[in-house]
Amino acid sequence: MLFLCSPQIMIRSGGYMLSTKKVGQRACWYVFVLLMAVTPFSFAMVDRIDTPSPFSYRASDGLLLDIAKAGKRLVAVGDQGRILVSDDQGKQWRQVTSPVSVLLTAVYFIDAQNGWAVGHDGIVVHTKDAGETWVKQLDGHQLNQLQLKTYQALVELGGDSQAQDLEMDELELYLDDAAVAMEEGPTQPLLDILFINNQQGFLLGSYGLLLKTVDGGNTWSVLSHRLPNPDRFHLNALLIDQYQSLIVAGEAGTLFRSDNFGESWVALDSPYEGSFFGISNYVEQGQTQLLALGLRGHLFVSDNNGDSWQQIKLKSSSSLTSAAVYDNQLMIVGLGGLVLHSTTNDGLLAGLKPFDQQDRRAWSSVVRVNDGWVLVGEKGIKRVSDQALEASYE
Amino acid sequence: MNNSSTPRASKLTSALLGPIKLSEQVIERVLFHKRMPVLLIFALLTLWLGFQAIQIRPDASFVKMIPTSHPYVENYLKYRSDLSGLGNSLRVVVQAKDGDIFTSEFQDTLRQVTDEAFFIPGVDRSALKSIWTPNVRWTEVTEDGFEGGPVISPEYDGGADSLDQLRTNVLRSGQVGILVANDFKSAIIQMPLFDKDPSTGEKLNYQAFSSKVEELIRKKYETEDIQIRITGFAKIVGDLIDGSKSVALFFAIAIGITLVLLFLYSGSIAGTLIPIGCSLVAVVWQMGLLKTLGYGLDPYSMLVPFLVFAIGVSHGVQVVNTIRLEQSEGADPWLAARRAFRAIYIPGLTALLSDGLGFVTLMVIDIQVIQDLAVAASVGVAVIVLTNLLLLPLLMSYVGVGEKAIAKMHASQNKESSHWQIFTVFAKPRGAMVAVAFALFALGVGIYGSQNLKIGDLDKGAPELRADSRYNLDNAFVTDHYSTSSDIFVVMATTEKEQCTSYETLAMVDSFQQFLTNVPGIQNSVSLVDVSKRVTAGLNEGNLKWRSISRNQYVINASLAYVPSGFMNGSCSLLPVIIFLDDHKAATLDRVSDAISGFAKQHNSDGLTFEMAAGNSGFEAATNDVIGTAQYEMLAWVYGVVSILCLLTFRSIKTVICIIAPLALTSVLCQALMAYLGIGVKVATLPVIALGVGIGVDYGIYIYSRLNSYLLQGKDLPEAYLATLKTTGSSVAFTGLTLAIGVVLWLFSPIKFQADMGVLLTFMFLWNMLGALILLPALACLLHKHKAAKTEESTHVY
Repeated sequence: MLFLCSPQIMIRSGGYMLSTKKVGQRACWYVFVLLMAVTPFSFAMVDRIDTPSPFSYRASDGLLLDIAKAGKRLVAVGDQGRILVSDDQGKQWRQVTSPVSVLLTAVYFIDAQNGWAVGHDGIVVHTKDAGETWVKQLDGHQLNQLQLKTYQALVELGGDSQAQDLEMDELELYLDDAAVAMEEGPTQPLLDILFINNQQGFLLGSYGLLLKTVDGGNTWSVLSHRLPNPDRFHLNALLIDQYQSLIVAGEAGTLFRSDNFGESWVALDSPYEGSFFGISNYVEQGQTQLLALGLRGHLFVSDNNGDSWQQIKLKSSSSLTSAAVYDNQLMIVGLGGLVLHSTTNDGLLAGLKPFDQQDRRAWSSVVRVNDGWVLVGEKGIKRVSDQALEASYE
Repeated sequence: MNNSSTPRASKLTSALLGPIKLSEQVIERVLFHKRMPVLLIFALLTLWLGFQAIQIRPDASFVKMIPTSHPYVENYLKYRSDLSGLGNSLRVVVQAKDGDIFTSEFQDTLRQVTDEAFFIPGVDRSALKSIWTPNVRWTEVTEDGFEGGPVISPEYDGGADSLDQLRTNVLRSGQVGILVANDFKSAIIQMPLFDKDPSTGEKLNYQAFSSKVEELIRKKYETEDIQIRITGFAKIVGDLIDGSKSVALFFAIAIGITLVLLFLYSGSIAGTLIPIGCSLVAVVWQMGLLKTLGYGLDPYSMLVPFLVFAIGVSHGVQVVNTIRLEQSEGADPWLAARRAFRAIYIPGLTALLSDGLGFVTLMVIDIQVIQDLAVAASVGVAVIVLTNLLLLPLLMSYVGVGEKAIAKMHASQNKESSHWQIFTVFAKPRGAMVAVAFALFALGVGIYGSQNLKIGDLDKGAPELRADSRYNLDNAFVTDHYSTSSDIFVVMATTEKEQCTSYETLAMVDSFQQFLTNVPGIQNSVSLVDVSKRVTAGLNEGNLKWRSISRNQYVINASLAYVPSGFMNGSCSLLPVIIFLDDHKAATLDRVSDAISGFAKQHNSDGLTFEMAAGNSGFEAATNDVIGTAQYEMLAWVYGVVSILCLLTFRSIKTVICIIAPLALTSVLCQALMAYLGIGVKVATLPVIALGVGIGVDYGIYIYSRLNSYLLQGKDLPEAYLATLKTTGSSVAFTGLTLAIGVVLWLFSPIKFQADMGVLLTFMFLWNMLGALILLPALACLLHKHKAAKTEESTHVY
């Protein structure tokens, strides 16, 4: 073992230049052991799970995936864990400190103060002060352990009382997956989050992940197996509709509904086998309906709590990602620069018209502000004012 | 006249020039007693070297223009073969002057040009890309997975429907901004080139390639409706070599003008033709020797034949002048030539030695073209010693100068040369004060002006060529209409083998690219990370929420199953990060490289290191770095060398000041001029000051040695100065003029840096001449107040 303590080895193992001629053999040993202990593998890694998001003066031009309102404030999240806030309806933006630098995929505010954002590597972050400061509530390591423990317990119990149909071998598969996930590390992307009050919330993720909290996100329970989703399709979007039902839309046309706040789920008859990226409530002529936004311009509407769907034919074949309704207007955004807008004059669905597709940048989310709309997507933020929309119609 | 050299010669005997003095007698004896054999040797040598010289080829090597021992370039050279996919490709733009690209006529042309490009030797055909090549495809995520096809569908027939289909395919191919202009009015054919022909192993001949493209594509397809634009390194090199061909014309013009001036000056046909002939022989020898030594003629060292010719002529004029003087005093041509040889040999040798040493100092700059320039110029000067100090008097000994020339000389000597009288003002205290005050003022202006002197190239596009050159217009068109920048800085991220796609590597490179977004001057950056992110999203139906480096190695591997060329090397140990910059100003490059080296210092590890730099801007950063330090080093060397030479020659610090101060003033003013004209210190302009000082010191040496000899004869300063001007003044003025003529024509070169060199050298040659004629006597007057007393002492000695 002592031959390891030659100068060459020392230099390679630690990355430090040491003059071993002056350092005695014993001292060399100490240093060697110390180096091995401190840097067993000298890859100067900084894990994005616990690296605060780096400040960027071009943050508002980078990839941003979701935008939400916290009272009058706007909060947008995206690449490198960036969280941006705006107090002037989206004209000026300020990057706030975020505890992680993973890609954040969704943000949700239950009121003007309390909000949550989710992202890759199983990250959930939470704010109590309208997005000024954020703390991490969950990461992929904890998520993996949570899943493993949950399924170990369920397998031991011999089933889940809330999911009578679930076969034992199904449950064992969940356990196997959880074990594999432990080996792979904190890799799982989370894709959407929703709170129904400031204690109760749900989050969705890849490979059919569904979690629920009843304490504002401090602890989570795993509900993935409660969905009839044997293929583990990604779950992309979640909302609560006028009947207080939870609706989940996902990969390969999957649609699920829960009428008891997530305790049990049914699969809905899907009108489509392509993926849904977004789901939205929309009101026309006093009637609230559901909109499902899908791949390649596939848009569906349901007026019966998701039991049946009608397709709205669109000219564009770009995928649809997000919709926002305001007063008597509707905006739908999508990939390939797609922006569709309508007013009740022409009918919210029948009257959808494309708006300025010039730069073809992909959009991920949209919210309504005082005098227009704020869009986020692959190249950051864009404001579309009502004036600009009107001008485009002339 | 011939005794004027004696005091100076004897002063020199001791140190440096002792052996030379000795050699002079031997050479003189051989030269003038064995004239025919010597001539025969010269003739044979000229034939042989002439044969060599005609084989010399224009040559522009990329590696020679960059500092190869700078760490950036060393890193690049280390990974050169892995990086070959980067940059060395030609882009041909086919532009519709009216309307857009979606017409059947335009598409026909685009198809034909694509076919034409395919068959040009040197093109990597498998990687050739245009919307007409089958490797350019559109893909779309559908309910069943990926769907795709070539942008030009097999059913394309040029009809309205298929043009509509084409428009859709172009949009979904993601080629807008890459192969199709953002405004849909032009399309690009991207032609990656082989550095070496894979079948023959021969190096690509850029010039031949460039002219082939010009002929087969530009000439053939450019019409009233279609404009062809070509950009790429191969095109720059081709244009450089083509552009330098006009240099031959400049050379002919320079010879013509010099011929006329020389005849007007000497009034003798032999006295005109022989110096010019000998100078041409010097040029032939110089080129022949370079060829023999294995050098080519690059656009920088093309300057040297001009300098050699001009220096040769100016020394030739001294010789002819002296012969004429001797003949006018009654000597026959043989004796006159022999005496002239004796008189000129040592001052001529000293002057040439100082020229040569001035050039040699350029060797301290670690850029090969500059070193080649130094070699070429030194060889040239060495050759002049043989041709113009030996061959020329030998030839003159047969013919001598004509009666007319002698008569002319008598006439001008007897005239009370009024035009030289004016200059004697500067040798009197009052005039001297004025001249020195003016010089100090000019120095102040110069120092102030040179504050703005910038390092590096300041213009957009290819800085080698003029801003309004065809190439730069084409290049500007591409940067304006496509989503690319032409200023590229490449950082090489290196890992252990097969580790370039590991999550750890990609995550670190991702945060590196994130870091770069905060560096002002960087537009954006692209690497394997972006490929992985995009494909990961693509594999998840284009969902933006997946546009991240996955922590799951299997997902990463799936995303990198097919990687476009240039994003990683074969052994997966290198992934280049391609950074697009706003411009290539030195300040931008400094900021970028400082920021990157800061990041590298903090984050480099055993597993992953960030190394700079490749890409045109990377090399420019390295070049600026070398030039920034070398410029002062070079000035120190060149001034050190000529000062020591003057000190050895004249043994007086004051004399050194008299000779060097005017040169220093010119150098400062030259820098101010560069700042004023917006010419940066760069590979082309760095040698200018060394050349200017090396040649400029000639004037001072000639004038001061003559002046000194008259002073030693007991004349007072104004009187000695007038005598000096009468004998040497005109030849100094003539020398300045011939040198300036040699380089001033470069102003018209299509190559920007040759024009820059031309304007600066012209300025330096003329100012150095004025400095020697005006400032030198003024300084001598003020510094040697007690000259009279001293002179008496000195006279005692001799």
